[in-house]
Amino acid sequence: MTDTTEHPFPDEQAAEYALGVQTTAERAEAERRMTSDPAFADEVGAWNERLAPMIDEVAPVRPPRVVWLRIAAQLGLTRTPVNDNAGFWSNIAVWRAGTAVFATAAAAALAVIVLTPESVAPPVTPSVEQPAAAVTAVGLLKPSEDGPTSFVVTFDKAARRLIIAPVTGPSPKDRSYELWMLPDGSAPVSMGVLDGTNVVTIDARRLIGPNGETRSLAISLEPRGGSPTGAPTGPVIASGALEAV
Amino acid sequence: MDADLSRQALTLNLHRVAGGDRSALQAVYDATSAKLFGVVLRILNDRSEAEDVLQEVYINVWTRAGSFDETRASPITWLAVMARNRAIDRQRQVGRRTTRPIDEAGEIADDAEDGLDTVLRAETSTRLDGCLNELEDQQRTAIRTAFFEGRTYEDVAKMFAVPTGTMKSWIRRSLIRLKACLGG
Repeated sequence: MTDTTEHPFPDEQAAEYALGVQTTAERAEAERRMTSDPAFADEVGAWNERLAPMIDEVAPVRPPRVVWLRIAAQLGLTRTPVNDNAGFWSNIAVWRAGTAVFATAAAAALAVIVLTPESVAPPVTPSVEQPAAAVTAVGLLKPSEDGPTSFVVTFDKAARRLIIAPVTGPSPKDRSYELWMLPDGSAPVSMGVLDGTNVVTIDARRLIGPNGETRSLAISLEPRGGSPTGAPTGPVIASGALEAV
Repeated sequence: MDADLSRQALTLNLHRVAGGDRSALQAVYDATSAKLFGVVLRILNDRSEAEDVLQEVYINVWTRAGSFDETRASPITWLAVMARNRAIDRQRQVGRRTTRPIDEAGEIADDAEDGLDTVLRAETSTRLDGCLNELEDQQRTAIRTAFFEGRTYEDVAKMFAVPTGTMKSWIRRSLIRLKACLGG
């Protein structure tokens, strides 16, 4: 088999960049050239269009919802957590209203309100002692992917307990942190309120999905005592998913 | 959904994103995230890495939507190319998590519905398919493996147990033939 390396075709570099076979250094070189050489950028564009139909064959895989929550958080809605009360969740509401799961989500939210007499999330009792836990999963809740850890959550599946250790410090005066479970495709479910000072242990039976899977978690800043509506009303200050250990 | 309609809707939403409209970003995410997640997952073969890249991609959509020009690229291609490039860059940094056999079947099947499939079906997939089918089996598989898994020449060569130079030759010849077949 002859090697065509010595007789490159005119748009070879563009084709190879679009296909994705180059090394890091070659890719960097192609990207530099794209910014300085419009004809080359056009060649890359043409190759992208030629190869794009193959994307059609890739099976879609629904990402977990926490990805969207992180995107929304990273787009500045957590910059002023104390003051920004409406933006994030009202956007989520708009987003969800446009989806087929809205009815289910609304029903789920209603169910939570019905189960909670004063439509205020139950306060979490600080645990007096920490019995040795058989930790099966750990979650680091962060304001953004690269942000500092705000809460460390450990999940003891056998005892169905969730142990939440705050790193971030106490909640602002007149505010409470509220922990939410984020089921895929339905409304967030309150897991209780936190003061940001004590390590707390909560019953986590609801955290285990029908197939034994665990959920993503988020923490929002709410009026003292928890969200008055049963749904998050304040900004998300941290989110994350439990990872098996 | 009608293909032209969803393509127009996506184009419109990208322009709204460029104007700072967050709900438009949500609409774009809603319509395309399952497809793009499938694309990056195939390249990285690691859910956690793929989630991070997907997040990066939509942050890029938010900051760079102003550079989207529908006269130069279809909205789908623009998004998919961005997702592939970010995933390939990440793969070059962290490596592909585990190797797996060359398998052209989309084994991570999911019935997630999004508007993108409809749009793409209306594009030139049958023409490209026809041209790919004119290649020899091994060369077609090499091109497809390189594209779907974002592998380097060297990686693909190892998978096929041929020298890197041979693989370069296969793929470059195939690219030339594809271009000619598609009409230059």
